[in-house]
Amino acid sequence: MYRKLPVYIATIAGMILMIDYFINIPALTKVASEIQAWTVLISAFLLGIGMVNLLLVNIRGLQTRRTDILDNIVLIGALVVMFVVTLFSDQFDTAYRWLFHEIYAPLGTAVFSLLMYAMASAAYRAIRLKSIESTVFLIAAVTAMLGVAPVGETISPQIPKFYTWMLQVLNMAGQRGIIMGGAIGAMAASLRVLLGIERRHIGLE
Amino acid sequence: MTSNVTIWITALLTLAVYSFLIKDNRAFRLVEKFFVGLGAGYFAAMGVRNIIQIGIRPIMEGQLLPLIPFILGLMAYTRFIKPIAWMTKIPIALIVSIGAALTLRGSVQAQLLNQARGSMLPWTTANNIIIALGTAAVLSYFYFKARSPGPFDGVMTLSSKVARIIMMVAFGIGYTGVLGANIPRTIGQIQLIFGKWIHLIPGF
Amino acid sequence: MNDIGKIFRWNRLTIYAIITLAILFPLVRPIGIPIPIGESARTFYELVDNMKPGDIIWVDSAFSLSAAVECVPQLEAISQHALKKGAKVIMLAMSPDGQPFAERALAALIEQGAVYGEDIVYLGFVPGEEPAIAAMMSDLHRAVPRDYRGTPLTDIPITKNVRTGNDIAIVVPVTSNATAPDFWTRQIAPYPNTVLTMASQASLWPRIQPYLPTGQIAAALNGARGAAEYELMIGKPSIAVASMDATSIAYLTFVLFIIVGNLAHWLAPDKKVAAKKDGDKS
Repeated sequence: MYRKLPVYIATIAGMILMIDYFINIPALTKVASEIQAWTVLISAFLLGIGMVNLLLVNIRGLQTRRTDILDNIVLIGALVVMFVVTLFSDQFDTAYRWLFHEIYAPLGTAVFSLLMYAMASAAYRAIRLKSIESTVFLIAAVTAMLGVAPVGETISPQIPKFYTWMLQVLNMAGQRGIIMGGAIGAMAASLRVLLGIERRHIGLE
Repeated sequence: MTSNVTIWITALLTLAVYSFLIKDNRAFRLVEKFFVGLGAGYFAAMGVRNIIQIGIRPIMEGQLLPLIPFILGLMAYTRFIKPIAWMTKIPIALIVSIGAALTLRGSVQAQLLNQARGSMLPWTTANNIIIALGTAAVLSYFYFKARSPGPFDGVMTLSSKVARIIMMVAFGIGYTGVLGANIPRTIGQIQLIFGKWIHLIPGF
Repeated sequence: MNDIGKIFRWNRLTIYAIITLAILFPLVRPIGIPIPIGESARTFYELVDNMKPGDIIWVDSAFSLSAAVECVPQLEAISQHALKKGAKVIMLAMSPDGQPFAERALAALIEQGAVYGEDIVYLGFVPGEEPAIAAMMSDLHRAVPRDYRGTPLTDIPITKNVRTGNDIAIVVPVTSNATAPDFWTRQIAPYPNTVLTMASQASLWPRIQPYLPTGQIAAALNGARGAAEYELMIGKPSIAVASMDATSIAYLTFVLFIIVGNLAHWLAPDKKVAAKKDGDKS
């Protein structure tokens, strides 16, 4: 019974939202509205799970010495300091702003900016005139680069026009097909979840 | 060079990250752990603040309804307590189910009907024909790619080739889109190192 | 036979150095490449420009840390413009990373003369993505009872009469979430009088296109380029405009890499040898 309880609760909640969409019953609308509002608070709880998990893994690492101690200490130290400073940001206002805007944000930007260098290497090594498809990819990528960059219009006004045509015609057709296909798939998956057929997300077969 | 300590710290951290471009190394891994720790602590603190604001506060003021999502949220943490770890499935199943219901409710109109209507344009211009046939080709590529031989094989093969070309255009434009998201980040870091730190860029 | 392809065979450190120098050069010596205003940015600008005093604009700081460079200029420019037109701004952050940037934008707007509660209100961080949007659009006061200071929404002049999506004129998610166009169009569909726009990271631009001609998304801004165009239109060129020269040269450099990479590949005397050498150099 308790293994299937999550499925029953989820199905009932989902069905309330579905029925509310099709049939206008004020009492049901109120219940549906209330259930939707619950997601805000539940999502807030879910944000902390990553932190708890990380703490447990790294504390275990410190105890067993299987990973480098310095790594664990740095991670736990950063986690605890940021948690305290953010939680009490009213009292630690200057520290919170400094940590976020001067350390965390630039560091995050630096980490993600590495991707540009990887893409530069990919542009050199992988974008090739080999087959029809790779040639089309190359032409589309180059046109898009020159079309988006302000310098493209300076080189030739036809470049942004060709890019806009590719974007609003060919890309449109491709993206529409992907969106519609994805939507049909998502609807099928959603129906399976609502009917309790799909249960892998909660660890049940 | 600047004498601002904060900029020195940020610049050195950035250089440690960029050292990865040469080779994976200890400095990068330490800074990576530092970043992960900061992020996890930040996210968790934001969650706790929210819990206090929209959970604990209304309950303390006498409202009973917020107790239900509060208890459901607490259940998510039972995953760390083996005997009652099964309870963690309840809030997750609920959130997934609510998301599924909202997707099912909204997708029909937003992603199917409106998009189909947008593709069914009058065939008065070449662009309209390309959009209509192209969308159909891409859709049929996903749904009918694996198929038994039939009387329309020739049409399906041609449609499949057209779909691949159209998708390559979309992927090429998508590659540039991702690039367009990454270039500003690198510009920002170069402005930090060469502008704020070394003062090579005017205006910093 | 001379290996003329040798000059085109670059190792990855050479590539990294070239792109870094290519970005650095226009920052040290600005070129001043003109920035044409695109149709979508202009439509976006006109939508906000045509707002009447008292109209509600919903600005959601929903981007991740990595997209801050593109999204923060958009957030600030749109909020400034809306306030200048007398619109009332309801700002919130649906991503944790977007929260401090929204707070900073709020502080800057208050410094410029906006009155909190009468011109702008900040709901704080609201987690939950699509279900939270559905909850807020169907009953805002139930989903988010208080603002970021803890004041009940019923006590704040701007929000006391804003109950559902129907009370909002324009919704502006400033986002980096790849599925944002999909779930926002789903959740705004029940409110046909509410105009949905999107100010996003550049990677979302191709994904947004199918929603523009159907009117599901009325207008959109394309990443840093869109932010630069908007800054120019409101007459306050700032960070985004300053980075456009470097962006242009970076794109040209990528085109160069594609050309040189193909030359290196096709001019290699023996492709297997060239591939092996490439592998050694990396």
